[in-house]
Parts: sequence; C-alpha cells; structure tokens
Amino acid sequence: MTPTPVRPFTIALLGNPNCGKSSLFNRLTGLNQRVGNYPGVTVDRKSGAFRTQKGEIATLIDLPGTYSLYPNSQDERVVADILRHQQHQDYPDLLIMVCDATQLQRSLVLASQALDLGLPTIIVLNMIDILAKESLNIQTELLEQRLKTKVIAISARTGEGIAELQNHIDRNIEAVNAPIFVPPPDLGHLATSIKSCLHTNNDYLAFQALLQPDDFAQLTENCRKDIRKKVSPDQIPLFIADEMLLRHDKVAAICDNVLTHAPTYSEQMTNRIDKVVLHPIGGYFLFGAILLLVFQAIFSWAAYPMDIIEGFFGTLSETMHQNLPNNLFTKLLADGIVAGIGGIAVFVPQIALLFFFIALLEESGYMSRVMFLMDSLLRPFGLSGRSLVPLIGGMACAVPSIMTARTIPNRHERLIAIMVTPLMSCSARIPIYVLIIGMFVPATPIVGIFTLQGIAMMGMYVLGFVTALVSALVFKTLLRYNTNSLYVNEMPIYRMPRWRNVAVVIYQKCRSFVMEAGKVILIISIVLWLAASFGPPVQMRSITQKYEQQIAQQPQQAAHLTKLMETEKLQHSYAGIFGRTIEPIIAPLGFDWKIGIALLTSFAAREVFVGTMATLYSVEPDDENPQLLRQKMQAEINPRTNQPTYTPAVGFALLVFYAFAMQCMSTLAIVKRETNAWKWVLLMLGYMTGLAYVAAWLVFRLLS
Amino acid sequence: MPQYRQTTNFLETFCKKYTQCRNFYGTLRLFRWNLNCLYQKMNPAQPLSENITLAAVQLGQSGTIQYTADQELCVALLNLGIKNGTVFSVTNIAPLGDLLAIAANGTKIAIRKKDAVQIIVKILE
Repeated sequence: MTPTPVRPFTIALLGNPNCGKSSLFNRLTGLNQRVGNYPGVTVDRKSGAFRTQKGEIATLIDLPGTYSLYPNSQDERVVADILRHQQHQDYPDLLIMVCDATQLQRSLVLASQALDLGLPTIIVLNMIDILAKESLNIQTELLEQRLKTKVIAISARTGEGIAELQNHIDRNIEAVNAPIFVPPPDLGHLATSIKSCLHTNNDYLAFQALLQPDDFAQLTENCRKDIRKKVSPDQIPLFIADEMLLRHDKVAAICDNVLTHAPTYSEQMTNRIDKVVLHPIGGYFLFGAILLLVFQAIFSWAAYPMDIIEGFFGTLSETMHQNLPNNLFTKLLADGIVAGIGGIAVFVPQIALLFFFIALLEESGYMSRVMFLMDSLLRPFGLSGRSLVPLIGGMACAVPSIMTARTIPNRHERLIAIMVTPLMSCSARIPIYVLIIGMFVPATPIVGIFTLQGIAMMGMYVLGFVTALVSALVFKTLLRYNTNSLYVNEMPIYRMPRWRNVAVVIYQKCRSFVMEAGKVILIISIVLWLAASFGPPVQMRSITQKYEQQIAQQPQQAAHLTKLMETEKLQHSYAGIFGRTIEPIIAPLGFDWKIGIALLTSFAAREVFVGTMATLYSVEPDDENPQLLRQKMQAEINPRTNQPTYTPAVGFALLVFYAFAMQCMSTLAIVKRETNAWKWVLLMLGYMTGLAYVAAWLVFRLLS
Repeated sequence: MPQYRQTTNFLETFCKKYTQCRNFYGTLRLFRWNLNCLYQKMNPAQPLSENITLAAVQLGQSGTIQYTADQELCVALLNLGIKNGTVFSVTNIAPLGDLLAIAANGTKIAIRKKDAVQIIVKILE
C-alpha cells in the first residue's frame, strides 16, 4: 500500500497592513521561514514551518496586508485568490485573522468577509499591551459569542497570549455557518444559480464570483460569460460599496460594548511627533539628515566589513594558489569560484546596513511620512517618497537599493524606481572617475578648497541624478503610469520598532540576495574569468613558451617578465578577441580594443576596469596611487593616427560611458529577482548601454 | 457631543444612508454645493454654509464626513474605516502643496487635494 501524499496542515495569517501580523509570524516561526515569490507577481510569499501543540508540523503563510477581499492592488489580489480558491496550494485549513485591537471595527470588517467565505477562523486581537496602557478592557467572550468563533487577545510584541493561541491551533476547527452579510434577495438568487460553476456551497463565495468573475481562476470560460450576462458591469462597484457599508453597520453592532471607550492612546504622541516630522522646513531637513546618515552608513561604514570580506577572499584565493597543485582546477577554484563568491559576499554588509535603516523607518511609521513630504516633488516624474530611498542608496550601490524598491506599493512606481536607480553614480564608479578625471582635469583651484577636479566629480553625480529623473519621466510615459490616480494612504501611528522584526528583515534580505541573485553572479563571474584567462590554445602556448625562454635567460627579471606575459595573455585571450571584435563598434567613441577588453571584464563589477587596465599596461593595480597607470595610459600612442590614444575627448567619452552604461552583472541579477522577468533585465541593459553609447559618441564628437 | 442640525431636506435624508458611494447623488450633492458657493459669492452678506469640501478645511479644524462623490474614493475610505458621519480633523497639510493628512478613528490618512474636493464635510465648531 502506498501512502497517499498528505497536504501539510496549512495556516494563513490574514490582517490589515500594520496590524502586527509579521510580528506574530516571527513569534510563531522564528527564523524558520522562507521568502519566495507568488508566481508571476512580485509579491513576497512568506511561509514558515512550526510545530503545533499536538506535535503536527504546520505550514504558516503570512498573507500580504489587505484592507478588503475585493482586491485593489497586486498584494490584495494575491490574498483574494488564495482565500477564494479551495484548490489553491496555499488555501488554508485554518485562518488566523489578526486584528488590531485599537482598530477593532476596521479589522473585523475584513474578518467578517473571511468568516462568510466559510474559512475555519481564529480571531486574534493584537496589541492588547497598548490597550492595557490605557486601562482599557476588551471583552473577548462577548465577541466570541457574537462572532461564534474563537477570539484570543494577544500581544505579539510582548508575547502575551501567544501560548494560548498555540494551544488553540488545531486542524479540526470547524467553519462557522452564520453569515454576517446576507446578499440582497435578487443578487442572492443570482449567486445561488452559479454555485454549481464553482463547486461550492458557500453563498458569499458565489456572491463574490458574481461580482468579480474575472478574478476567479477556477471558473470555466463558459461560466464566466454566463455570469457577465447576469450583472451589468457599471453596477458592480455599487454592490461592493453596499456590501461594505452593510458590513460596517453589522460590525459596529458586534463591536458595541466590547471596548469600554475608544482608544486615544498614542494619537496625541503621534500628532506631536508629526508637528516636527512634517514641518514645512524642519521636515525636509530631518529627512535630508536621515538620508545622509543612511548614505554615510552604506558608503563608508560598510567599507570596513567589506574590506575584511575582500581581504578574506583574497587571502583564501592566494592560499589556494600556494598550497594546491598548480593546475587548471586550482585556477578555476581560486580565481573563478572563490573570487565569484567573494564578489557576492562583499555586498552583504551594504545590504544588511541599508535594510537595517529601511526596516527601522518602516517599522516606526516614518516611511509613510516621507511619502507625504515628497509626493508633490516627485510625482511628476512617476516617483514617490519611497522611490527616493533606492535613488539615494544607488549612490552607494544599486544592488541593495533595488532590493528596497520592493517596499513601493505601486507596481509602476516600483518598476520606474528599479529601472532608473542604476543611473545614480554608485561607489564602484569612483575608481574609474578618479583615474580619468585625474588624467584630464587639472587640479586648478576654483574657490577656496574646491578644485576643478572636485567639481568634475560632483558633476558626474549630478549628471547621474538628472539622467535618472529624465529617464523616470520617459518610463512614466512608456508605462502609461497615471500619477493622478487615486491616492489614499494610511499613515500609521508611531511605534517603537520591534528589533526582532528588524533582525528578521535583515536576515531575510541577505539570504535571498546570496541565494538567488548570487547564483547568477557566480555563473557570470566564472564565464568572465574563463574568457579572460583562456584563448586559442596554440597562441596561448606560444606566449607561455616565449616568456619561459626569456625568464630562463634572464632570471633576475622574472617578476617583470611574468607581468608582461600576463599582459600578452590577456590581450590574446577570448576577452582580448572580444575587445578586438567590438573595436569597430566602439571606435566612433574613440575607444580602442584595450578599452574594449576592460568593458567586458568590468561587467563583473565596474571597479574591475582599473584592474584590467593595469594588467593591460603591466602595472601593479594600486587604488591609492593610480599615477603610474595614468602615465602609461597617457603615453599610449594610437598606431593609426600617431596621436595619443587618450585625448581629453576619449577621456570624457569614457567617463560619460561609465556613468550610464549597465556595467554590473550583480545589478542585472537583482533586477531579474525583483521584477521576476528577463524582459526588464534586457530592457535595462539595452536602454542604459544605448544611452551610454549615444552620450559618449556625442561627447567625443563635440570635444574632438 | 456636538449638536447635529437635523436635515429636513428630503434629498439629504434619503442620501444619508443610501447614497454613500453612489455617483449620481454624490454628483448631485457636489453640484448643489457648487451652486451654494456661487450663491454665497453673489450674496456675501449671507452666512457661510457649514458644508464645504475637505480640501477647503483649515489646518486644525475638525468636522464630519457628509458624503463622497467619487465611488472609488468612497470605497477606499470605507476600507480605512471612514464613512459618512465619521469625525475627523485635518492635522497636517503638506508644505509643497497638495496632500493633506486627516486624523480619524485613531489613524491618520494622507489624501490628495484633488481627491479631497470629492468629499463634502461639515465643520464642527
């Protein structure tokens, strides 16, 4: 006898945004959780496993926060899809409805919808610690009587009542069959007639299907056509509004006398804080200061752990070279794989720090105030206050910044923010800027401590920012994003951040970066390594032989000759061949094939450009002192024109090219993860490279 | 408790419950309100009506929601627990213009002025 596969006991957490659902989720599952994507949409699917009191392993799903089961956003649509479809893989055996006890009526309206759908439900009243502070009593027994389902008062923050909740989690809880909302007779009659289409006995489910047949995946096309004939589409919003109104009235009756008086608690506190935070001048200063702090953190504080990580992987790679036999496998391991993993791990401090701040701002309730402050400034560009975080973060590194775009609720806004963030001048561009500005811009003092070089550097940042805004405008038009659409946004009261939640967010984000974007980065870095270290075997062998002979003749110059050998090998590797192949394409920009090689290798990360140029010109790469490389590059003569290769025109073209070009595989990998579609990755690669090419060509033409 | 003036108008009584989120009556109310404004402009001696749109409410003033002309907005407000008769106060107005924050039911909601003109409110003294 073969055991039939048993579906795990599935429990879902449902609740309004900011009701403390995630805190409860973290309480119940600890770190035993996974974040994935719902297929086809960029909505986090958070699930976790825990053991119930009866010893059964249960899967807990944290549904996105929602206000109503009539979906308005992508997040809410996911929730509605799951709760309406019995065959859905996440359809819960038990629903834990998390209610904010301070927003009882609003939360219970959603609860009433869930109860009417016939889901076995435990209602959890969260945040009773806040009620207790105001010496407010909540009559759970009364609610239990009226709703005919289990009601438990808890505080996810302090842990009060969690044990009781765990005791009540049970597979055998039955659904209540006492509808709170009864559809009006004529609609109810129509709804009954489509029950067979849905294979359900539930009146309310049929009623929802009657109003929104397109959101029901389980309906056949015939059924859908049939339903559309029954109700005229312009009546539907009315019916929904009527239902919600009726629910509010019913729930108001249910809530009657449950609380001794309406809570006023932190409202005054919130108002006092908002006087400062939303102050016409002070508010912007405060926001600027916070952005500066975040920027400072990911720009310079993250540098220490990043140096340690880089040093560690560098040493590891060197140790491998010294201790393992000198063969191909060692090289692959040390230069390809270890270097690749190092390239992934180096982002972790920045991601952790950035998400520390983001989680803090989100948890405390400040983020929605930022939107309030910045809305009218950024809206014309299709961005919002939340988009400012990825943009500013993009000045340090686009990778963690693009990950923060997930907190932008609007899909169009999120896409725009993701697409323009890599245009901001990230820290990996600095070595290139330093090298080239140092070559072509004199250090003439302008005013006081400011030199022309400093102003040129500043100009590159401004250029990036302005281009990002302009591109946002273009994307807004292309996506037909209507910024005039309805905007009603809740600004939750201020709360102390829950550190446990902050820690979980940081852990999750780092993990998902390493696990998902990391894979792509590792593969590309190995491919790039292969391209740079291998070439047509015959040529490579003859180069090795030539230098081995020379080294044998002049052993005292071995180090110098080895360097020359490396240079020549790189020039004849597949990367070198690539550089020569694309030379006709990049020649209009004034670039030669050596830059072509660097363009390819710096795809691993922009700063590799300097290292590659150093290898091509046989100098020791040294970030502190790029003088030698500069001299060598300036001495380079173009064999065709007998003029220096690096004229100012070429230099500035190169600067502009690097400011715009999508030269970062990690960014592409994270864009793939965040948008869940290669379409956007290719579009980003295409538009940025195109922009870079055109801009560099213009600069080169104008200056030469 | 603030004293609500009894509405004698038939339309208003009718609207009180059944017109929430209904475009037709909402628009009618908006039209009536506009007429009212026009009338006041022509007769400045007349006392101001206490029914104005949310966009016109001064910072710090409070009032009750009377009706929302836009259906979509009405449902969005309902989802946040705001319906006809909800007491609110305008707590912040965004410095650069067109957002305002209202406090109602123990929470704060940001809304654009463009949408706020769809909400007709009654000022509480």
